[in-house]
Amino acid sequence: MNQANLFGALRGPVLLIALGVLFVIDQNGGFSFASTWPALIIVFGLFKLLESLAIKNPVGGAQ
Amino acid sequence: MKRASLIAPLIVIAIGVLFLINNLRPELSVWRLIAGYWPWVLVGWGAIRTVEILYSWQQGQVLPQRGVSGGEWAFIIFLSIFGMGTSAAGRITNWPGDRFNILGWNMVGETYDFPLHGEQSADGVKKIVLENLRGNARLVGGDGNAVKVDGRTIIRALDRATAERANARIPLSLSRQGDVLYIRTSQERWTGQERLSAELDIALPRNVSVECKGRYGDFDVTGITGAVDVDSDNAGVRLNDIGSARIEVRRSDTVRAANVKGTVEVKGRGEDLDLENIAGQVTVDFRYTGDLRFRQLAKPIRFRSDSSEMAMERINGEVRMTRGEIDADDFTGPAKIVVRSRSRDLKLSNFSQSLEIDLDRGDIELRPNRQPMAMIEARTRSGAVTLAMPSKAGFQLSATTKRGEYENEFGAPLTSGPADRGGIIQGTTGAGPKINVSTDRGSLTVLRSTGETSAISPVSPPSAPVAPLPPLPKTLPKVEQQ
Repeated sequence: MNQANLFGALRGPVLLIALGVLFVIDQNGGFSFASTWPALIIVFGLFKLLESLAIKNPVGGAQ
Repeated sequence: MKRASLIAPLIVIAIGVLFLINNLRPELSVWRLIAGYWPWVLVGWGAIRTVEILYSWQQGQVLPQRGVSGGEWAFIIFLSIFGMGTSAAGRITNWPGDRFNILGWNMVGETYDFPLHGEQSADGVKKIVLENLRGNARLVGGDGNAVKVDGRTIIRALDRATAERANARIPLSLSRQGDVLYIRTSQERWTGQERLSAELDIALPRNVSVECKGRYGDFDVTGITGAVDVDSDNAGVRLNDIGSARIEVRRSDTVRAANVKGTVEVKGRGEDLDLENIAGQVTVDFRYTGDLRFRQLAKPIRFRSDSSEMAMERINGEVRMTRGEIDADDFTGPAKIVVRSRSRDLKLSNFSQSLEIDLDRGDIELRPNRQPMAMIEARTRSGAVTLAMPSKAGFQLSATTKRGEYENEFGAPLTSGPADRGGIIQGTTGAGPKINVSTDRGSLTVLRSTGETSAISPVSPPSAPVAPLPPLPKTLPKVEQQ
């Protein structure tokens, strides 16, 4: 069990939160979801990045 | 054993709570709650799942391969589409929250109709007050000297006996106090679950003023020389050929006033607003989700919504505002348009007197086409700027883009050159006012305008040509009800 697993598991929930936040912003008259959705791709990419970094540097590991 | 996620039971509980609220507190519309807050379900769901994963990571348990499973994502996508639908419906229409009262009383039962009739002389009556909680009313001014009410009460009930009992409790009443005549449908007297509404057709003398109060239903007033005052939670309002108007709606699919001899004041929220041929000052404080149209306003207009502000001295042509655009043609300044946080493209043509524009995001296209030119001060933080200047006018132009392409199609005597990461077009032709336009990011184009309409549709200058704009009044002085 290392951090890569953690980031992999957290990716879904964090994307979900981001999705919700974008819809909240959309509803409250800020930027519309149609223009903010790329943020989801960025979050997804960040998590992929963290995962691969974590695999290369298996710090933490099982506690 | 690995504990199952808390999400599924929480969703089941939430659904139960929603149905319970719907049944116990029918005045809180569950649909409205869902439409307003559904994205928080996604946020909460993600947060709970995050906490669960962090917790099991700390406990050294086996982490799931994926934090949110494929099936869950399918449900989330469904919820998002459904949620966007409800919010869109909530924005656009009068979401009939109570008509969709699932598992409540209103889905069951039948409707029963009862005729309504009332008549009273209106000798010496100066004001008529209509109180109709639910239902539509049409008021028409005429030559007669009596108030005549015709219509029907509609009661939705489980059986006829209940409907009749309810109907007996809410007689139509016409009562007079001094020079005020009250027309009441008294629906608030019935406290049962049954849904009551009244459809009214009212004939009244022309020279009265009218006050309409209601919670849900349209008001339609025509042919009255006095003031019309409408106050409703949810109403479509249509006024035509009246003395003056004051409209306050919390929600509305359409507000329309035409041929008004005095002032018009509109407050509240709604979808569309349409004002045409208004002789008096217009004050609008309205959050809109549809289209706004102002045509032929002889006196100053002050408009304000959640994100924009607009002031003009006179509109001979038309000003149209949609969610994404403001188009104005043929108006007189001094004019000022400010839009915050939202993106709006601005297209203004055929205007005289000074103009001030401040946009956060959006393109600006200006075609003054009128002589003499007046001062223009326009800026957008992000958007293209197009300026079409009359070839023979005198002005001192300074147009800049901090970042973007620039093009001087006007030619000499204007010159262009790079500045910052964008460019500047400037120059003076003859003697004339300052024209300053700028964009922080976006292209800049200065054209030589061809369609010069100054000779075709001359505009009489307003009495005080360059008077500064008075501040936007909080409320108009209320029209004296005589």
